[in-house]
Amino acid sequence: MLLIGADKMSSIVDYTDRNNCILFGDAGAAVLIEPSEDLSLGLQDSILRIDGSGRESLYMLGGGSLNPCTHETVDKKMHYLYQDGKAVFKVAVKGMADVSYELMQKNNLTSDDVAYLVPHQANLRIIDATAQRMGLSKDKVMVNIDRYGNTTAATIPSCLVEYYRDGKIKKGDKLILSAFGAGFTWGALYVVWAMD
Amino acid sequence: MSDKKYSAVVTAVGMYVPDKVYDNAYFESIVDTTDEWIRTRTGIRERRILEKGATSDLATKAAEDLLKTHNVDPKEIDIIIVATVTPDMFFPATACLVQDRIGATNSWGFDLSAAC
Repeated sequence: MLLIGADKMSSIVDYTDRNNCILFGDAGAAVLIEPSEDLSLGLQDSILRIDGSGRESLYMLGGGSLNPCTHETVDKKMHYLYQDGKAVFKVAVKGMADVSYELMQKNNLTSDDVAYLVPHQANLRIIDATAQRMGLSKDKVMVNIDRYGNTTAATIPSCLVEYYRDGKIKKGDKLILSAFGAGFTWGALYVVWAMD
Repeated sequence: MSDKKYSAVVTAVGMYVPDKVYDNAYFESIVDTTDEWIRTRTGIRERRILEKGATSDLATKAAEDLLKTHNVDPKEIDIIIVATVTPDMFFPATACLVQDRIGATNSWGFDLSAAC
């Protein structure tokens, strides 16, 4: 299975919106997923959540069946991403930290057991708060937001690609992948890295 | 988990970022912001921007990087899932566009949207 995360965020960003236009970038990243008979490798466990009451905080209203494209939807800038940054930050900080910590507890993982947190790259302060909750030092947190911004679906896979290619992850390393996004939808995966 | 027969493992990786860079200085020139504000609030110094093309181009190039680096035959791919909130269009799915371009002729696929 070829799983690709790719987003051209610049196609839905309003470059007059000073709070949001600075956040996003364009990228694509891919992983090939195959079955393994060695059950100690690969996806071990997950916690996945959804809460649609967050729909007022992060959305793009125009172009769907609710607001089909018209001159008016264009004039009202409804084809751009809208985000209430403060509201999302508050929920994301708690959501990402909670599921990541819960997943460690559920699988009896200590901070020493975890090789890396692989977090969605939306904001470094959310990443830091999640790592702190998990008891992880900064050298155990994958980061590329400084160079790419928030690339939406490409954040976690692009971190995996870069850290793997830099020789920083090895077979058997325990990883916690953790993300938060519009909906709200969020979750964490416990993965044991299988590539040499 | 005790009845599990197989585990899902990552066996190959690839990525693509466009060449064009928007650094924080660029945003200082187009909106009321500062490099220091952006860095301290978000940790971002620069981002990549695709000037021409669409999400399927980013996805296809990431897939091609994976196939080439790990010597994977696209005909062996069973399913392509493209996670995106910026598909090329509502339909067909971006997965179809990638499937065609990489020659994954034995594959099925669809897009997945669970947003930024």
